[in-house]
Amino acid sequence: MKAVLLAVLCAAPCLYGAPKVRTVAVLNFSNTSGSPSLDYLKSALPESVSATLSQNGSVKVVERAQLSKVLSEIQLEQSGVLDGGEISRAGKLAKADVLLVGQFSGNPEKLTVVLKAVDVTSGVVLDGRTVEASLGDVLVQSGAAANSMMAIVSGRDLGYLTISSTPDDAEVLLDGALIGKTPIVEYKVAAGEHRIFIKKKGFKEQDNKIRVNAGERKKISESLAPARNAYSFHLGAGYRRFIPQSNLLTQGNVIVPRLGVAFGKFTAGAEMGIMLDLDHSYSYNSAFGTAIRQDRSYYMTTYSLAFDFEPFNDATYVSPFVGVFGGYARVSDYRKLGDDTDQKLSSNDLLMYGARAGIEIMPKFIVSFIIEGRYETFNRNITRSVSFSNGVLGGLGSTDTSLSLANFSIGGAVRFNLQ
Amino acid sequence: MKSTTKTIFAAGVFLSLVTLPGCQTTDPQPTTPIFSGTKEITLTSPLNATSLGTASFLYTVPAEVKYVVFGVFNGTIVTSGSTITNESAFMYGSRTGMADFVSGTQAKATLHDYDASTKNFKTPNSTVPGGTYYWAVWGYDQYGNLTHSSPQRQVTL
Repeated sequence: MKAVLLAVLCAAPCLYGAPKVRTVAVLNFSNTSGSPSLDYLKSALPESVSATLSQNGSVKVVERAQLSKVLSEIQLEQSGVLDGGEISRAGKLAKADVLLVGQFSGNPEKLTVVLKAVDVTSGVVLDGRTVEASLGDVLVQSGAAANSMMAIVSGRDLGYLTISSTPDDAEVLLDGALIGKTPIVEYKVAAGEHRIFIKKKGFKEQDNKIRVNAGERKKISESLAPARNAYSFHLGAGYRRFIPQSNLLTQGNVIVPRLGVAFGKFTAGAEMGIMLDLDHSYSYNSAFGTAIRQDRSYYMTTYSLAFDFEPFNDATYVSPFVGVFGGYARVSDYRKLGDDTDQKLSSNDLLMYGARAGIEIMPKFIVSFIIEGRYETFNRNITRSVSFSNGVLGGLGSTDTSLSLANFSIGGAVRFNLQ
Repeated sequence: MKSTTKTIFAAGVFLSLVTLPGCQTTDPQPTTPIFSGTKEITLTSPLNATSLGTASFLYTVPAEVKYVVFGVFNGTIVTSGSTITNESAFMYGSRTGMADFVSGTQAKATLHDYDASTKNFKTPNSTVPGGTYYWAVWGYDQYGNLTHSSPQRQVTL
């Protein structure tokens, strides 16, 4: 006896505190598009919505088959407008607490569906949604919108979402249902986790998972970065500091004009390298008791193709890249004979190739900046001719040495991204 | 009076016939620089195939020549490209940088022995024995490039 009493006492608060699960009946929608070819949606849409809601644990859904008798008795779908008496009558016939009614308009390319949840007892519209979608998406979108209305219909704890974006007028999808365009103010959602998807043409999409607590007024503000087009062309110019591996050469300066096309994570480009002055001067002891300096410089021009891979090309501010390049190089050796005259001693035609890595800063903007390091090598060494004194016997003698032009270089560039 | 005039005229004609051929006895001087392709250094004296006597060698070097070499050989100077090939005939000389060297003038007393081991001149002055020699001058620019040379002349010291 005591045990039974204890069980009843324990169970009572649970039973008393358990919220009543509301029953929702989805009535046929009305077609206001003026197109009889879309009449099938009058039942297809509510069938889809009903199926979606049946998976929502917060409400009970009246089986659509049971509604056919109700629908035949009251032609609700004819007008799309419900008065208090019809609602009460339909609710009783369907044994539902809430009626979900809707109407659609537009054309197959763009349908507009208006959903309303009406309390059977009071006749008050509890919540409403407007869905804009193509014919292919309208079933899924309408189901998602109806699902989101169940937060209010079920009487569960609510939170509020205020969503803004820069720029505004971006579409916002809440748990897959389009709920409007930014700015959206104090939008009621069931407490819990939600997925917010913000999109605007020409800008990168934002996809966030958020949690809203009961009674919380959550604000979401997104700055939408410009989206990178599938294809974009660019022009650029850069500078590289040439750091040779051979200690016979000094560091040099290279100017690099470049053009290219970016497609997705890949970039193909053509570039020209102009070596301004690669000094390899030296001095020798002459027969006249003085050291004589031979001013010598290599001038190098390269023409190459480059292929880069950007694993994070969607990045807004910094996008790293790695790449390879290869092409043709012409290296000429000059001796300075005076302030204005250079004597060309030799020319070499070489193949060059290498790899590079770097970062692109602000890759999605019209002007972006590149910082890179590269290693460059050639298919063969060049022959460097070095003069030495022949005493007073006549002209200079010379010796030949093999010289590698392999080098590291670091540099930067500015790039104009043409859409 | 007439006979006096005729006598003077005849004497003039005689003197002309005797002295004018003497004015044309100088032989043509060598003109080919010892190093082909170089600009010329002009030699003044002594003339080719003459004796130096107590005089000095005289020549003219263009201003753009920074380093000058004066060379005396005991045989004809032979070159290939920009190098003297009969080094064994190179006996004496002087050059820019030696203490007693004066460009444009070279006295016999300030010549130095050529040292084949260093391809340069020794520091002490030489005592040059009499004989037949060949001399020439060549020059370099500021970068050490051989740019100028003279023809060679024979001289008796």
